[in-house]
Amino acid sequence: MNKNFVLILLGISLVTYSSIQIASNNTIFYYTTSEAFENIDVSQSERIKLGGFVEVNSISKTPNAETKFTITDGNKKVGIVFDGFIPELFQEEMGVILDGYFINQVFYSDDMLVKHDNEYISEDGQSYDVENYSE
Amino acid sequence: MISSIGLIISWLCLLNLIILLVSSNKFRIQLLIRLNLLLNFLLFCILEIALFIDDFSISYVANYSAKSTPPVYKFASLWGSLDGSILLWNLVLGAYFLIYIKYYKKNTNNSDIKIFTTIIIFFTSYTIFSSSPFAGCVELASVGCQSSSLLPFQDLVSSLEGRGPNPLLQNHPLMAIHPPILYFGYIGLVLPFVITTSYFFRKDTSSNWVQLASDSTFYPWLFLTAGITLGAAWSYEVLGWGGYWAWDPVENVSFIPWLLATAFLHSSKTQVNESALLNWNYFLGGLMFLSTIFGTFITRSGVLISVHAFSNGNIGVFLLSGLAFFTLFFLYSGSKNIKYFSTSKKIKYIFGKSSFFIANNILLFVSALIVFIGTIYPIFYETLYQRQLTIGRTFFDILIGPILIMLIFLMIFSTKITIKNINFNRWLQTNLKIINSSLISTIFFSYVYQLNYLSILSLFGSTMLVITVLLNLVQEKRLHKIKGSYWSGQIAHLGIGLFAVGLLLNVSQSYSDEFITSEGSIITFGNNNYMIEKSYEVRRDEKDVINLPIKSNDKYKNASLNIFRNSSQQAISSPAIFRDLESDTYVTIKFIDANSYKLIFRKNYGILIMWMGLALSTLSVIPRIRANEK
Amino acid sequence: MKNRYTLGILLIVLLLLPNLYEDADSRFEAWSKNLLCPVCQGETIFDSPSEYADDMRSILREQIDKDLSDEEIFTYWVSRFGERIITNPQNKNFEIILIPLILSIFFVAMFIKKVLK
Repeated sequence: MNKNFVLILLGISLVTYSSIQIASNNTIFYYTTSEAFENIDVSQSERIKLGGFVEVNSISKTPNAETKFTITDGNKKVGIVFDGFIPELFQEEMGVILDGYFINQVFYSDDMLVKHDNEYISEDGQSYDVENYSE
Repeated sequence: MISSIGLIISWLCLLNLIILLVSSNKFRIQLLIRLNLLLNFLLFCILEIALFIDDFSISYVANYSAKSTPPVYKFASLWGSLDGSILLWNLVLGAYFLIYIKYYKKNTNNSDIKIFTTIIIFFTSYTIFSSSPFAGCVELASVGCQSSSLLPFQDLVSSLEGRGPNPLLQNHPLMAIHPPILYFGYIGLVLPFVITTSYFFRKDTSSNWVQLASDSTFYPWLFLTAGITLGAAWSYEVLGWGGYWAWDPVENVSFIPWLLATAFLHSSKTQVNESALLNWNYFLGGLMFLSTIFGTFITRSGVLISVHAFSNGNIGVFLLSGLAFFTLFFLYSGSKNIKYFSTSKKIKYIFGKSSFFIANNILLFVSALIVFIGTIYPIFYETLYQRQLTIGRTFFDILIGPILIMLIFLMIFSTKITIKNINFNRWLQTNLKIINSSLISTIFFSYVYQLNYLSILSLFGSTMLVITVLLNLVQEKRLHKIKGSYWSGQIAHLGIGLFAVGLLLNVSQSYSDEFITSEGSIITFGNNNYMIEKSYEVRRDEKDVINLPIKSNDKYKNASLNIFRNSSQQAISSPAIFRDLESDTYVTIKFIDANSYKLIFRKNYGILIMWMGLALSTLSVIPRIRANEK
Repeated sequence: MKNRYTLGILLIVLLLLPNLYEDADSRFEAWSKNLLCPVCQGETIFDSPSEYADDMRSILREQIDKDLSDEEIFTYWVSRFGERIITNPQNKNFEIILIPLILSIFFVAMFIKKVLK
């Protein structure tokens, strides 16, 4: 029985190790706008989640029925081009997390998470945690 | 008032359970178990009443329902968020307790009762000491309730309107039945847990504990299969993102118990036949329920974000401590029987039934392990490196897909499997015609659909599986003989084979395109024309619905955008689906305004075949029921 | 016996089958499966319905029609989007095989162990 057990343990370890390796090749990291600038080589080279608050007076429409706006974490700003339907409560100063890509300093996205709770907005650009979000 | 009544009845529930825990009289035990179910059912009814009369003095009602919510969704909003879903959880547990003593209690010793009672006490305590759906509102938020009290007879405040359920939960009546069915699935896994731990705690290993545990696992497995199928169907038919499975954490934590339960149904047979795998069966017997609790912990503690994730609070600590406690108890009970485990016999025939079952167990367990790793990876990473991330779905697709293919090939041998070694030569001889026809069919369709090697392999395996089992069914001319667990398995395998064919088509053939168009245009997509008509708006209490009628071949379907009031929710884009056996044309609105419509057209292959396969798998219950009709 | 010959022939046909259809539209298709759509959910421009992917496909079409070499196409895209625009099919192929490989080795090991007894 002992030998069997060792073999099984070995098999499980191998599977676990391989899975973890493969998982690390399929990750999508989350950045605030400041973090995106700090890690510019990484954040600009893969698909990421980007978080920030919608800047006042920054929302507009493109001819392609996309929505343009700027997000900020109080420190750094990023221009967003969003393709898709915007939630009714989407508005200035709201926290959002966008799933997408940087192309030449502009962030393109078609998937948005909006902050659920109005009272959670911080004004000094503190980084917020990812809880309290709903899709 | 309802709040106070609900809270007090919850306390009575706990009191009843404590008395049950120390009872030894058989009749008293039977009575108290029924009383527990009655009290939980009462709580369920009371909360439903509160929902229907819009009693916003109850925090839960104010925060998860609204005056404008339609009745069906008011009913379903009972389990729409954490506290209410715990109430449903306790109700289902209570029902299973009664089912246990009626059908699965085979001896007079009461350690099983005590274990079961402890489990229910644990979950009931949460609603009393941590948070309850009956908590009264003591402070208002702008909409809904800000803070609540767990004590009865408080001065409560009532908001004028409720926040309403999460819009995702309001889009289809399927929402009404999907969670309860899932609950009857994975909560039912408490039965094999109680059976295994109670027998082992008493060191009563001479009796047929594994057969009992296996029997008790079947119906939970069935409900779990049905629940997962419904979830996938709802996701595809209603939610409009075009898919049916996203490897979302909540999906994953219902899938892991399913994989383990499927494995257990097979490995338990091996023990019944050959007295082998004693430790493995004990391990799985308890692991199923532990994985359920773990899954609940993962999705409710806020440790991960997903579409279904509820809120934070103490539920995380609570569930984790429960998990630790039950795991330790499970390990302790097992450790009392080391001598018994060493009597486990070796498998005699390396290519016999038992070996096949072991192989399937390995594949299923490894799948569960991989899904588990992918689901908790973000948690570990964040704890270790303080960076947040999510795992892309490719991880799961790429690893689980090939394992499914291996399982399909194993299932092919399930028709004529025997305890003794399969004679491969003879099997080849008997099945040569089937193999050749499957090959011809595979060659034909592979050419038509231009499949790659992996898809060709899948198609061949699935085709062989479907043909083999169908022939087996047809050859059994005596209809009355189609009963029992063998035929149950055959039908389930057939269903999975069919599902695999659909899945393969879906993954290899589907394509999509985006169009910016307007009223009156005709879109050509996939050899069909689609006339886009004028959109119109329908105002409902809880939402505005923009409907876009689309006409194709004299059939009208509506794509719609459901925009919920007062919501940070992205609008739910419900698809217009034009369906035939081979594929669906699936149209969703990406963006719409007065002048232009931005639409996504998807050609999704194999969907109907997938649904047919999954439905067939759930019909595997029929031979089992027939076997019990004596 | 005749059936076994048929089996053999059919298997060979099956193995060679993909070569029959890998030609049509091959270069364009192969490349579009190699380029990721930046704004889509991890999809290649072959898979994605979005307009952005469509624009990229038109550019690629032109490049294929103009008979640009693989290296020229590669340079064009990478210089504008970075290396991440190119998918890694080799990686994916390896990842698909890995677990079945481990499992098969495991099964074979168990089989050998059993037979040696």
